[in-house]
Amino acid sequence: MNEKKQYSDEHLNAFIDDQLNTAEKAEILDAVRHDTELSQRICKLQKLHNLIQLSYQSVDVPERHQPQKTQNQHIKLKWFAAASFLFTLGSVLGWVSHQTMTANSLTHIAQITHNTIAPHNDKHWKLMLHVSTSNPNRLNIVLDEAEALLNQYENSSRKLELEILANSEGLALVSNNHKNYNKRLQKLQQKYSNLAVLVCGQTLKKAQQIKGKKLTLLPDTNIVPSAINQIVKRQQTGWSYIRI
Amino acid sequence: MNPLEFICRTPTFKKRLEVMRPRLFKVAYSWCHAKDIADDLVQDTVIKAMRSASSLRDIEKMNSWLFTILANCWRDYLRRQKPTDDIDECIFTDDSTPELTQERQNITDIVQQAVASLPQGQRQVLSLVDLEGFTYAEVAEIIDIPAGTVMSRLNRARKALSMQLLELKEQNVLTQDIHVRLVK
Repeated sequence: MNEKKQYSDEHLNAFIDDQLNTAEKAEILDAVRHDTELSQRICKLQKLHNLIQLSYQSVDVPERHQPQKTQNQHIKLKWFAAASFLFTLGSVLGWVSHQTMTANSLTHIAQITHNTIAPHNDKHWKLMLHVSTSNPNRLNIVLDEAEALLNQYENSSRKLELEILANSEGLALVSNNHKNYNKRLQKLQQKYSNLAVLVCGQTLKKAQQIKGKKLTLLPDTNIVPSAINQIVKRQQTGWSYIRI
Repeated sequence: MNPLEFICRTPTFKKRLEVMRPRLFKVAYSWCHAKDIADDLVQDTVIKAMRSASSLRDIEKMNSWLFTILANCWRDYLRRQKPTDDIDECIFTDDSTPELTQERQNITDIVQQAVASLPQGQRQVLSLVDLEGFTYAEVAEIIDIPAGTVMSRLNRARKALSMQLLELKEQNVLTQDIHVRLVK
């Protein structure tokens, strides 16, 4: 008889805080598929973690502790020139490497991955990208790779279902704040019907309570009750999962 | 460290210090929940960091180094307030701060009050993990306790907060059902 393995609260805390190794994380993710109680315990810890993060985001930092802009124009121009050159070089190299694209680039910046099998032998690949960061560089990497994947599969006989799920700080990606990455995501949604964009209802609710007003999301953004429930549901039905 | 490395590092050090100040303030605030005290703690931290910059061997470890200084400043502050008590178990609240004395329905204040009610040892660990994302090993180094103690304090803190904040569930604040819908 298979007995459910019992995980201590400390072990689950370590899972939420990304303190476990890959094998330990994979074991828990696998156990969550069959254990509703475990899923609920993890969900509760994740909610608490998000709540604490959100509650201190609104702390007003005094002016004197805000970063000062002290670089002079000459130094700024020099760095801008160097950055532009490197960006151009990186873009060319990136374009070349996309010819044999897999999910490897995303896994380089991923915190957790699960079942990221190479899609070459799979006619129908289902991939969830779980975004919980507001770092613009990372968001742009996610969008770069998502766009490359969608483009690659559009012209092949294989099918791709891509879901981008945002929670915690990832809310920035799906809010209609007119940032470059918001506009990019909106364009991808309009162009590709096999791309779905989801946001965690719990994250949205708490963010709106803290800001004291309703937040505007990108059009065609679906709200799901809970990120972890959506993740578990997808993994139970064979989706690949990458958390950024 | 050779002179060239020193010259190149000084602007980097200063820039990183500037960037870290708001984060230091938010964590200090989560420990004391009093803006004037948090302000003093960050000022002390910055001054000490500037004075002992040469002791930082690896610039990549500057974040945890700064929070170690902050933790020491906080410890010194607590000892001045309660010289004979076990500071890790004390519950620090500043009765003069308007932030904690006013009654508000804002969920942010409710959560912050719950965090403020934790013993300071638990509060420190919780904020370093949840607000700054430090690993358990880094937290252990910053506040100079064993890694096992980090885990047990974090566990107790989250259990206590879970029980307190479950009251909000009864008031239907935290767990209102959100139905899946398409946003146009």
